[in-house]
Amino acid sequence: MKIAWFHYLPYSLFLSMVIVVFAEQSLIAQNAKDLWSFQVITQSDPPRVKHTDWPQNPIDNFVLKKLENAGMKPAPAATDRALIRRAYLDLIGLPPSPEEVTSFINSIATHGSVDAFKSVTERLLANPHYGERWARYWLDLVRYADSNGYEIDGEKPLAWQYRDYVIRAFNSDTPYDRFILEQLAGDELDNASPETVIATGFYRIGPWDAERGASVQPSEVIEERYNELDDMIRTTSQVFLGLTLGCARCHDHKFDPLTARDYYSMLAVFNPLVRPRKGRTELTRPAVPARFRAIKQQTDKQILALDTRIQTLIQPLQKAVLNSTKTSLPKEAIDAFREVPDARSDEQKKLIDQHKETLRQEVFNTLSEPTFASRVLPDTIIAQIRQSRKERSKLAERFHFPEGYFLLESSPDAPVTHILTRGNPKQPGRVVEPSVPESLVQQQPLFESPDLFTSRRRLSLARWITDPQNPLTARVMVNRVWQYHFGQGLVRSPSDFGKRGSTPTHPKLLDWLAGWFVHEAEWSLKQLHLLIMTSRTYRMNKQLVEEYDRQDPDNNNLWRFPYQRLDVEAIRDSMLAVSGQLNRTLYGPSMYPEIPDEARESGYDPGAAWQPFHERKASRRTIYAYVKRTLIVPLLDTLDFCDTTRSTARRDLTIVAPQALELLNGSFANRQAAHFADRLILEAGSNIDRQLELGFRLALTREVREGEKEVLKRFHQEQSIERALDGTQSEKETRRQALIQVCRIIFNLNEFVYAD
Amino acid sequence: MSQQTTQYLTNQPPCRNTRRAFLWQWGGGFATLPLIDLMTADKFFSSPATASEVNPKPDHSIHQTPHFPAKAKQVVFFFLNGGPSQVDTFDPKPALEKFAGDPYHGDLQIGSNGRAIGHLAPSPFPFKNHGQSGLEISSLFPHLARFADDLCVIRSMYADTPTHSPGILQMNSGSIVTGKPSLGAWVNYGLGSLNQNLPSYVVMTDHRGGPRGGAAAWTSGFMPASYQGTLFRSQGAPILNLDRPDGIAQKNQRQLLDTLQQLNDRHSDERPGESELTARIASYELAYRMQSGAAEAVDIHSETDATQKLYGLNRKETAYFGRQCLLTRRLLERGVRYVQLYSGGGPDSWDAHDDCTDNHQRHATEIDQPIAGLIEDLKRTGMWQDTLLIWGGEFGRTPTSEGVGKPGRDHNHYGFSMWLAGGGVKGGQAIGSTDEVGFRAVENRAHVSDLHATVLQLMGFDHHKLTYFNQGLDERLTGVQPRRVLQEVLA
Repeated sequence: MKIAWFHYLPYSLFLSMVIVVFAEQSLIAQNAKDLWSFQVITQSDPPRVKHTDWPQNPIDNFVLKKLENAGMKPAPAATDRALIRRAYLDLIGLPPSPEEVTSFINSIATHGSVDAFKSVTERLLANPHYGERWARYWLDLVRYADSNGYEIDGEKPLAWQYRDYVIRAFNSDTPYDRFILEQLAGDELDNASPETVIATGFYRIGPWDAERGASVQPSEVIEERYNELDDMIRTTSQVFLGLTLGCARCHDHKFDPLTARDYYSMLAVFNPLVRPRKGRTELTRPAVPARFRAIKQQTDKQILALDTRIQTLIQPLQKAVLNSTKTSLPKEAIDAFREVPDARSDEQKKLIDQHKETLRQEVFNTLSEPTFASRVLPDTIIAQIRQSRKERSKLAERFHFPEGYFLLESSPDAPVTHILTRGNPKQPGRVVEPSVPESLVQQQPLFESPDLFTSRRRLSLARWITDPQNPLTARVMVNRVWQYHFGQGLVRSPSDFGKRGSTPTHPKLLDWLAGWFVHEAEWSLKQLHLLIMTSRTYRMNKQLVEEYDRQDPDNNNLWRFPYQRLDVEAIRDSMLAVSGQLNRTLYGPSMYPEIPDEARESGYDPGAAWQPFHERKASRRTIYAYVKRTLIVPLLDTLDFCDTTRSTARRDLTIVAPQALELLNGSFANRQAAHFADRLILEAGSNIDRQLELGFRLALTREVREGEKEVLKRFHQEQSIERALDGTQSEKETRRQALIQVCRIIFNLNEFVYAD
Repeated sequence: MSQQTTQYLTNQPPCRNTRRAFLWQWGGGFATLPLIDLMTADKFFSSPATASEVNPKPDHSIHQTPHFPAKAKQVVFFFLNGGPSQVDTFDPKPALEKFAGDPYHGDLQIGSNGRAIGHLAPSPFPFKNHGQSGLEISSLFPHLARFADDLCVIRSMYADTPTHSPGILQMNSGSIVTGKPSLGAWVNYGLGSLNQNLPSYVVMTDHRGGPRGGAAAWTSGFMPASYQGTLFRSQGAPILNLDRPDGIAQKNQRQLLDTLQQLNDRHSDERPGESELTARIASYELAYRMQSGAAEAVDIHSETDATQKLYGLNRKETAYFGRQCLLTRRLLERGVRYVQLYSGGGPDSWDAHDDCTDNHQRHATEIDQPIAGLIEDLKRTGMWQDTLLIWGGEFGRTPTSEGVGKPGRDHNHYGFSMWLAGGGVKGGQAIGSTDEVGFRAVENRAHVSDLHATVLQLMGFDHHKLTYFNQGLDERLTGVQPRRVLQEVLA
C-alpha cells in the first residue's frame, strides 16, 4: 500500500510545531541564562585596593577598586556643613536647624567626624520624619492616590490608612521581606492583624474607572476588570521584581524571557480579589484577617442575638420614654414609633431609621435613673438588660476591626483564568493555573491549596518573592535604596532589570549589598541606610572634575557624589521648616492645600470637590496632601510630582520656566517668604545683618558671606527706599516688606534646591 | 551638553542618559542656546514674538527626525466635548425619515448605562449640498458651509467605548486607560518647539468647565512633564503664576531677579561645569520674558474691528469661542505647535441626552462663525497650508432618540463623523460611511487610532516608527493593534 505524501502532512505539521515550541522554549531558557539579573546572587569578598586607608566599609572597596582601575581618584570629602545638610535632606527631607549644626560641629571636635556623623545618622533614622520622607518613594512606586481618576474620580475612602501604614513600616523598620508579605498577603498571614490587612490596600490604590467598572454593559465591566488586574500585575512585577511583565499582556515579551503564559499565570494569582462597592461608590470593609473571619461571624451573630434580647426586654421602657419628656424626638417620629409596625407608612419607616439610634440612647440613659426605669420594669429585668449590654460591649470591643480600604478575597474558590489571545477578553484561550515566571525558576514554588477562607495564591507568590534565593527581590531593593540616596542607582533602570534595562555599573557591589541586606541585615532598611551613609563613598563631595567628566560623563565610576535637584516634597517641606510654619503632626487623613482658582477652572466640576484647609492644617508635610488624580496640586505638578497612574521608579526632574514662575510668583512661595521674614524679625531683631545671618543658617545651613551680605543689603535698601517713597507704610513695615523680598530671593536660590 | 540633550530626547533606554536634559516647559532645547541670547532679549519687549523673529535658529536637537516631509506644521483640534451627533451634522440619513418612530432592530446596544431607549429619529436640521464639491452639511453650520470644499469629513469613525472619560482619553491619547501621552505631546515630542517664549502645546477649555477626567486629556503621560499641554485662559493672565505677586512693580521684580541671578552666578561660578545650575538660572530669565511674551500674545486689542467681527466677537453667543479662535491664530503665528479648544464643558456640553435639537443648535451657533472666521483668517494670513484642523468629539450619538418620542440622543461609539482640513488634507469630500440609519461605521471604517496615524503622517511621521521607550516597551501613539493611515484623506 502506498501512502501518499500528504498523509504525512498532519504529522509533519505536528512535528514542526513541536520543534517550534521547543525552539521557543529553549530560546527563552537561553535568554534567561544570558540575563545577569536572573542569576543567583553571589557575594564576593570586597576587593583589595591600593589606597587601603580610604575605605571605611566594604562599599568603598568596590567603589575605589573601579576608580583605581580607571585611573581615577575619589572626590574629597564634603565639608561638615555640606554633609549634615545632605544627611538631613536625604533621610528626613528637611534641613538641619542651626542648633543641630552647632551640636554636630562640636561633636566632631570631641568624637571625630566619623563617629559624629554616624551618630547623626542614627538619630535621623530614629526620627519619625524619616518615615515621612522614605514612605513617599514607596508611594511613588505603588502609584498611590486618594482618588480613582477618570470621569468620576471618586474618593478612595480611608486610602490614607495605607499611606500611614507605609510611613509606620519605615519608621518601625519592618524587615523588607515582611513588608512585602504584608502588602501582598497581609490578610492571609498566620500572624495577620488589621494593620496587615490594611497593607493589602496596595492592590486597590491604583486608578479605577468607576463609570466602566460599574457599567450595565458587561463588555465594559470585563474590560475594566482586566485593566485593574493588569495594573496589579505591572505594579507587583515592577516594584518587587524589576520585571516589566506587563509587556506580556498581548504577546510574549519582546526582549525578556517572559511569556504571555507567565502574565496570565500571575493574573490567576490576583483574579480572586474583589472590589467592595455599591455601584460606582467604593466601600470599605472591616479589616478582618482571613483566619478571624469565622470567629468574627460568630461574634456578629452573638451580638445580634444580644441586641434582639435587649430590644425585647426594653420595649416597655421605650414606650414610657416616648410618652415622657425624656425624648427629644419630633412629634412625627414619636408617632411613627408608636404605630403598629405593619401599618407604618414609608415616610414613617424613614423617620424610624433616622431616629432609632437617638431613641435607643435616650432609653438607655433612663436605665441610670432608677426612679424612672423601675416604675416601668421590674428590677430583675433591668439587671438582665444591664448584664446583656455589658456582654455586648465586651464582645464588640474584643472583636472590633477598623474599617479599611483593600480588595477582598471573600471565598477560597478562585475563578478560572484563561490566557487571552492578544489580550482580548473576547478571545479566551487556554486555562492557566497560578504560577511564577517559568524562566526564573528551576521548579515552580509550591502554591498552597486554599484554606477555608482564601485561595492562598497571593501568600504563595509573596513567599516566593521573599525567598532569599529569589535573584531579583533583594537586588532590586538595594538598588532602589542606593538610588534614593545618590540620585541614581547602580542599575539605572530601577524597575527594569531585563534586557532593555541597563546593567549594573558595579555588579559585584550590587550583589554584595544584596547578600548583605538579606543575610547580615536581615532585610533591615535602616541598617542598609546606615551602612551606605557611613561609607566614604557617601561622604564624597559633588565637585565636578573636568577631565573625569569628559572621560565618564555619566559618572559610572562614581568619581563624585551626583548632583541633583531636590524633589518637590523636600522643597515645599523645607520652605515650611525654614519659615517656621511646618506643622509636624504625624499621620491621619489627608489635608487639602490651597489651589489657585484658575487651576480649578479646567476641572469638570470647577466649583466642587476641593475645599482647601486652613493654613495651619495645610502646612503639614507634603506626603499628607490629598492626591486627587484629576487635579494634582499645581505646585507639585509643576515641580515634577510622580505620575499617579502607574508605578514611578524615578521622577523625571526637569528644569523649566513654570517652576520659576511657581516659586517666584506662586502664592505658597510668597506666603512662606512673608512668614520667613517675620520669623527673622522675631528671632534676629530689626538689624538686617543679623537677619541675613540667621536667614542663611536656617535656609542654607551656613554662614552668609560678606559679599552676599553686601548684595542683599543693597537690594534690601533699594526696596525699602522705593516703598518709603510710596509713603503709605510705616518705616517698620517698609523694612519688613523689603525683607520679604529678600526671603523670596533666598527661597529661589539654586543653593536652596541643590544641596552640596 | 547638546549631545546629552539629544540623547535624552531621542529617548534612549535610561542606562544611556543618566544626566537629565533641561527643557523649557515649552519644548525648545535651550541648553544649546547661548545664555547671552536670553539675557539680551530686551528688544523682544518692543516687538511681538513671532516664531521667526524670536528664535531665528530653532533648535533642532530637541525633536525626532521626521520620516517624510511634513504637510502640516501646526495643529488645531476643536474638541466637541460630550459627543456631537453625526446624523445632525455631517452624515445625512434620509432613511431616518422613512423609519421615523420605528424601533431599532439592529444588533447594537442602545441605552448607555441603563438610559432610556427610544425609536429611530430623523434630524430636525435639514442638510444641503455646499460648494463645488456638493459636500452635505446640516443647517447647524451655515458659516462653516462656505468652506465645504476645504473639509474632509470622515463619516466612518468608531471608538472603543461609549463612556465619556475613557472616550476623551482615547480620542486624545489613543488609549482608554490613563497614563498615555496625548496627541499634542506626541506632536511636540516629534517636532519640538518653534517659540521659546510660549508653551508649545496650548489647551483652552470652555468657560463652563473642562472635559470629564480633567487634565488627563492633555497629559504627557510617561513622557516628561515638559510635553504636556498648558492651560491658557483667554481672560486675565493666560498662564498660572504669570502675574507678579500683589504690590510688586515690574521694576522691583527686575531688581529681585537681578539680585537673585547675581547670587546664583556666584554660586555656579564655584561649581564650574554644572550645567543644571546654569539651566536653572536661564529658566528664571525665560520666566520673566514669558510674562510679557504671553501677555502680548493674548492682547487682542491690536486686532482690527473687522477681524474681531470676523470671529464673532461682537455677538454674545459667539464672543467666547470667537476670542479663543482669534487667540489660536495669534498663538499659531507665534509658533505654538498644537492648540486644542474645547467646546462645551462642565454640565453644559454636547452631551445631548435630553434635547439634542436645542443643545446642538446652541452649541453649534457658538462655534460655527468663530471656526469659519479662523479658516478665513488662516487663508488670509497664508498659514492655511501649514495648519491642520481637526474637528470632532469623543464619539457620536445614536440615530435613535433617548426615550420614546423624546428629543435627546444617547452615546454612540460605533459610528460617528469628524472632519479634517488644512495642510495636506484633500478637502471637499466625505469618506467612509455608516449603515443605513447612521449607527455603525460600515464602509472604510476608521478607528480613532487610524485618525491618529493619519495626523502623524501629515506631520511627517510614520506612526509605527515614532516611539518612546517606557518601562520595557517602545510605546507608540497608535498602540499594538494594526492601524492604518487613511490614505483618502491625504491631498
